[in-house]
Amino acid sequence: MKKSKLITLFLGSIILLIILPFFGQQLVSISDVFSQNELQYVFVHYRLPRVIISFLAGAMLALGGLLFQSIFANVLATPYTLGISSAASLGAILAIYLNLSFSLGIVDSPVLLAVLFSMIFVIILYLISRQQKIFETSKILLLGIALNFLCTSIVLYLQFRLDYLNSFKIMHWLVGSMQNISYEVALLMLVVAIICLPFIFLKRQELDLLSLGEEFALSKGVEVKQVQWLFIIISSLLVGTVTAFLGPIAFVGLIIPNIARMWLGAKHSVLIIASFLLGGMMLSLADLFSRVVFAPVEMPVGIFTAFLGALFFLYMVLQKK
Amino acid sequence: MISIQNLFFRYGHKNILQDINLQINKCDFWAIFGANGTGKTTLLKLMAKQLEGYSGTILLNDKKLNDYKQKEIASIIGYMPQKILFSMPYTVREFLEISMYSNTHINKETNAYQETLQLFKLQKFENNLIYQLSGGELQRLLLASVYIQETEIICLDEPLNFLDPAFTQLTMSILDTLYFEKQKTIVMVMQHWQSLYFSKIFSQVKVLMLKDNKIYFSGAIKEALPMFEDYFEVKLNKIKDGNTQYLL
Repeated sequence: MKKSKLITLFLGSIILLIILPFFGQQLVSISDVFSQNELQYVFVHYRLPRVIISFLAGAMLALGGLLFQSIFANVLATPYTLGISSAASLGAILAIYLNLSFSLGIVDSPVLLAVLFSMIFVIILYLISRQQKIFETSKILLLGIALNFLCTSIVLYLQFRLDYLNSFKIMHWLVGSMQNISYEVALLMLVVAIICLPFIFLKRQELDLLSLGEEFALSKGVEVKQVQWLFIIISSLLVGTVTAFLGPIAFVGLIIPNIARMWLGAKHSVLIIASFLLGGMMLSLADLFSRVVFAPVEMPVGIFTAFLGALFFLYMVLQKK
Repeated sequence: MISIQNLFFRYGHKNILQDINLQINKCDFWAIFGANGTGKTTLLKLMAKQLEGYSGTILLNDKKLNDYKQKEIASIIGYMPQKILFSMPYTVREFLEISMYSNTHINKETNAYQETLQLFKLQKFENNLIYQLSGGELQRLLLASVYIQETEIICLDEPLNFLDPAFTQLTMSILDTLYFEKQKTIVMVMQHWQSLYFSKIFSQVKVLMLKDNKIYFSGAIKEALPMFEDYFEVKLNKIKDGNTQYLL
């Protein structure tokens, strides 16, 4: 049963990855791909990497969300709750605000600062909870929410201080959209995903136990604190990378793991793969939608996912078990 | 098996446990009593390494508790926390499989699983989701998840809470099986000693009474019973049935 569903997801992902690049404001035909025209250029240099990036981004966000829901034993937890994405936003926006223009290969200053800030954020969170001896996850979440608001207020302040053009640039960034399209970005994201996946899969039993609550996991022999921090770091790496390149794309990390869980049950041996594939499919489809619906204007994909996500969130909250 | 010496535990400025000394031997059945806030849950958690930051010594099989890894502990001590609420849609079967985490010497497909289902009368719930179970069924499942760890020692934190008389009786008869047939060492925190009357272990129970964060009494239940009125600050009715005297 579950196996066949996983195979369906896997095949669906492959089919999507193959056919999506042909769709867009203009349909590309197979013969175009093998000719030397403009459409071929669009297909190879724009559409293909974009589909790969949106797929990986969705997959990584869903995975990051799943990890947070599991380690906090809360189906409504996401890395955004803890403020990782607003830390990343703060980094990127600080780079725009200060007009920093250094870069490291493909990685320009906003991206660099975004990753840096999300990592620093996690380290600060870790140090505070260590120093203050805060070990209950609910308190760590509260701490994260407080730091989240702190980052957000600074972001808003910076936006307030800037002129119209830069302010709009920031707003565009904050919504989350596909601006950084290149094979290098796709490759970098793929590398991060490939590094994180085996770790997650190896610890699937611990994730099962943690998702039933830390008290329960501890009683069954999980080194709860170690595993929790390992996954806070891994999921901020996943989410920080995506946020750095594409901005904070809302709600994918919340919705996808929940849909996967409803469909396939809660066991992580299945859930990890399902969330990854489903997240990829959802975001690459959402991206196509946002490219096409208001053509020739392109809607930032974050608006669309936020809209879907908010509706889904309502459904989750109102749903009675 | 477990030896506790000069145990102190503070939470902030509050003393939760003061100068606790206790020796738990193989095949003991300990019942821990105490008013709310006297530290009985804390004591149980400390001896099962579910809580850190105490002073004093706790030895498990002559080795310091802190020298054990969490997974090693879970293969020696099965600890059942007070009622927990779950929000993830695991089935009963998956839940029990997950609970075998520390149990390295069983094959997941063999009888341990079937045996547990049978012993705890959970067969017909096998494919139900855990959050659809009633309070009593969930409590039984939690106990089953401790049993399936196949540990020598079992620590239970108020396993009889929220249970109606029928479920209480069933749980006590399961404890009888664990104690007499499986030779388990059992430590149990409880509120109402009356539940012990359901059990065949009754005459062998050892009682630990905590008061004001210290040990008030520890010893055999026969010596403990006469002190119950003073200790619980209640007036008790006595019923005599043959040679056995019941306090209700």
